Amino acid sequence: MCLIIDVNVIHRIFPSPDDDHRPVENALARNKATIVYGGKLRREYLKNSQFCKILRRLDQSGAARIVPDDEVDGKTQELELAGGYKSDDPHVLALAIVAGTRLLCSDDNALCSDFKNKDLIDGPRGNIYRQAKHAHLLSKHCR
Amino acid sequence: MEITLRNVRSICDYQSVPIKPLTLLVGENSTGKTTFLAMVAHVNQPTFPSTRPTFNIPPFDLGTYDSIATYKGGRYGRAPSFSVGFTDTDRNDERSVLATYASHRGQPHVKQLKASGKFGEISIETAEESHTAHVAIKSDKASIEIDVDLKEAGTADEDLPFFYVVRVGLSTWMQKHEGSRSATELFVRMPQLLRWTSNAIFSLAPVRTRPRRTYDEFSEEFDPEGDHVPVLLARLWEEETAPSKVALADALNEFGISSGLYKKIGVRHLGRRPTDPFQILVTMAGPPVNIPDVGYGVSQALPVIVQSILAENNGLLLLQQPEVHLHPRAQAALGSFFSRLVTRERKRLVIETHSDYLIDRVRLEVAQGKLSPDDVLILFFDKAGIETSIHQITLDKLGNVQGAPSSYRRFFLEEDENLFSRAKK
Repeated sequence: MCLIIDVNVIHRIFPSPDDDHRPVENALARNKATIVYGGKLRREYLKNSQFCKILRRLDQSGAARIVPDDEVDGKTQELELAGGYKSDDPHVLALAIVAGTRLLCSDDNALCSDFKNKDLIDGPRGNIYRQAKHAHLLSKHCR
Repeated sequence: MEITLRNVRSICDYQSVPIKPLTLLVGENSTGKTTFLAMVAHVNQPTFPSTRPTFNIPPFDLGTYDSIATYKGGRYGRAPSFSVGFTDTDRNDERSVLATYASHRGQPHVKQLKASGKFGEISIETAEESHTAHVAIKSDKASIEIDVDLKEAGTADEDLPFFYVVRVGLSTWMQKHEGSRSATELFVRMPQLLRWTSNAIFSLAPVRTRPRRTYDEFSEEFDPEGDHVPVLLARLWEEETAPSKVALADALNEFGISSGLYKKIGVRHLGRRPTDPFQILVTMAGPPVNIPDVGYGVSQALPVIVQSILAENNGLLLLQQPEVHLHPRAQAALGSFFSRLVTRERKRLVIETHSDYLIDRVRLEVAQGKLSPDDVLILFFDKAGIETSIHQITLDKLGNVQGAPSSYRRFFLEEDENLFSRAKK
């Protein structure tokens, strides 16, 4: 499982990427990376109608993979009960745990900090993609 | 079942490709999808493997040897032989048959044949000029070699099934080894390796017959363009309560409603005798209307739907672009319709399609648990230069696409990228 894209950076990748996110868009357009989504993140994606059209294309080509909502939502509830995270996005952490995804594309500092917290996500630990210089992480985590 | 091909048009290297109950062939034009379908039809012919087969049984028309064997040009030129075969993995007694063809007066003829199974193997070399076949049989009971005069087995120009050729050869051999128990076992078992065991196969053309105002010809003989379908309907509609009619009417109506194409299909007989003309009526919102007076999609979908329903259970249906002339809603409904044929009736379908809606609906059927992901396979025909690679793409339980190569649907992704970037300088 390759990559989670936080809703706050979608506009920086699709429909037209900025320089820092061009490698992500490139990898997805060439089927060399896969977006993982499910649970609350899926519901958040659905509110962005323009991205939904792109997501459909990615889904058809195998560059987007849906994870069962109930598994992600269940894990989110577990995290909410356990606490120990700073961000307000336990659903993203839950998705990473359920799908085994260890690469997050986000510019939310609190979420990025949680994602790298080995008490929350471990075996292996999470990595963050923020800029073009992180393009090597796509090769590390994706096809 | 797996289909094996080598040097068949753009499919150059040996490629062994599995067929699942619902196999979808996708890829750009001229990548080998129809050729593949033709070869699936070829190995499922009752006579396969035979000495002088034709590759031009409608709706397929692969032509002569030169238009089938791979042509790479330059110093490679045309391939001196091509191979077509199958491995039957669906039955307990797994067996493989591979026929290698060479050109004889421009037509393909079997130069070499290999078959193997639980009880042994058969290897056959033919000499077209002398009309002989050298048959080598190896089993746990014996190893024998026989020369069969094909003129004794049939006329010189006759297309002879190799099942029959081996039987003839073994009969002659048996006469010399009368009373031998192992000889009797060989005679009974070994030709079975070459015996046709498939179920009925139907191949529909991508272009279906035009709808007519009145039908007055009465051939029920299967026609790849669906010319026989109105007559089948008329015959069945005469039998009010026949189970086959009820089942067909129910399935037709179910598809009509889900596709938005029609509510009901009926037949109006214009006389009392069975040979009197008739019309096919389509009910949409108002009263029934004659089929040429509704959209073209109905008449184009009807042969696909009727033939698919009437095919026997476990039968094999080869369909070329069943979505032609259909609105996306009807294309999606076809996906559900085909899924039901697989799950309810264990029919097997190999479908060449360009329809995202059909494929997406199949994925949805899988995600909803109505169709097993193990029953679905997408074969992506990917041509680079003159060579085609056939990639196997599977679905998981949620209908996610798995194992797609980087070239899969690249056009669509790049087209979107370009479209969304068109304002940029």
